[in-house]
Amino acid sequence: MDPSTQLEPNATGTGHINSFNQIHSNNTTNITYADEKTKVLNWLSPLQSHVRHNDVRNRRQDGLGEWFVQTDEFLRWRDGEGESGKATLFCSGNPGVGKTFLR
Amino acid sequence: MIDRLLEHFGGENIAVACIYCDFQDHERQTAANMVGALTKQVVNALKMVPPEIEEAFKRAEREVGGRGLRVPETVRLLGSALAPVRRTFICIDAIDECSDEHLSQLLTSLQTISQTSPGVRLFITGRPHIQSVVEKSLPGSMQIIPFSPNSEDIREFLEMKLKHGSSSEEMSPALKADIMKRIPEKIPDVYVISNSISQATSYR
Repeated sequence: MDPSTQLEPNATGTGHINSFNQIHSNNTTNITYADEKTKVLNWLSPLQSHVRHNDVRNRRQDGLGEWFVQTDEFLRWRDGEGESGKATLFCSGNPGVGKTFLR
Repeated sequence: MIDRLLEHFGGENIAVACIYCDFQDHERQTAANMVGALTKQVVNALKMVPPEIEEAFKRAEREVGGRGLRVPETVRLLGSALAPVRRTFICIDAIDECSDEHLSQLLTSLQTISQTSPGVRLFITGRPHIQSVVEKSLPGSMQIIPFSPNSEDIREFLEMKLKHGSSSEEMSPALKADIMKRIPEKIPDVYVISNSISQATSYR
C-alpha cells in the first residue's frame, strides 16, 4: 500500500491533508479559505520539497539500510521525549551510499 | 525516512518537514526560503493557518511590492507553526550541498528552533567533512551514525541493477553470478559499485 494513504491525520488529529501530498484543498467546499491558505503557503517559501520527496519515494528500494533504523541511536532519537535522547541525528556518508534513499 | 516516521506515528499529533539541499538550486535555496519551506510544510499539515502567520502575511501583502521574508522572521513563524504540534521531525538531506553563504544561517536557525520548540527532532544527512561544522552549531545534542551499506544492501542493489540494467539480457548467468559473489565481498561502497556496474553493463 502506498504509505501516503496511511498518513492522515498528521498534525492535528482532525483529518487534514499531509504535507507531502499535493494540495487538495481546492476540492473542498471552502474554496475561499483553501485559496487563502495556498497564498500564505506560497508566500512562506517558493521551495517545493514534496516534489523532490515524491521523486525520491519513486526511486528508492525498500529494505535499503534497514539496519540503520534498528540501531539504538536511531530509536532513542525517534522515541526520546523532550530532553531525553539527543535531539539531532547526523547520518554521515559519502555521496551515493544511499543516505537520501534511507527508508 | 519521512514516510517511515509518518507511518510509525500515524494518527498522532506529529509533523514531518524536509529540505533536500542541492548544489544546482543555490539561487533559490536561501536560508530564508529553506526555513520558510519547513514552516510551509508544517502549516500545510495544520487544519488552520496559525493567526500569527496569517497576520504576518497580511502585513506583508499591504506593503508595496510584497516584501520577502527575512531569516529571523521565518524562524519566528516556524515557531508559531510548531506550537500546536507535539513532536516535529525536521529532515535536512545533503546539508553539505547548501551554499556556504546560507549554511551558517540555516544552522543557527535550526539551533534556535530546537531550543525554543522542545518537541523538535532533527535528522541531518551529509558528507563526513561537514560533520564538525554542524556539530559546532548544535553543541552537545548531536548523535552521529556513519552510514555505509551492509552486504545485504549491496546484494539487493546488485540484483536490481542486474535485472534492470541496460544490457542485462546480454550478460551470461555465469557472469551475473560472478558479480553477485565477488563485488559484495570486495567493495564496501555502493558508490563504487554503482559506477563499476554501469560501466560493466554499458559494454557492447
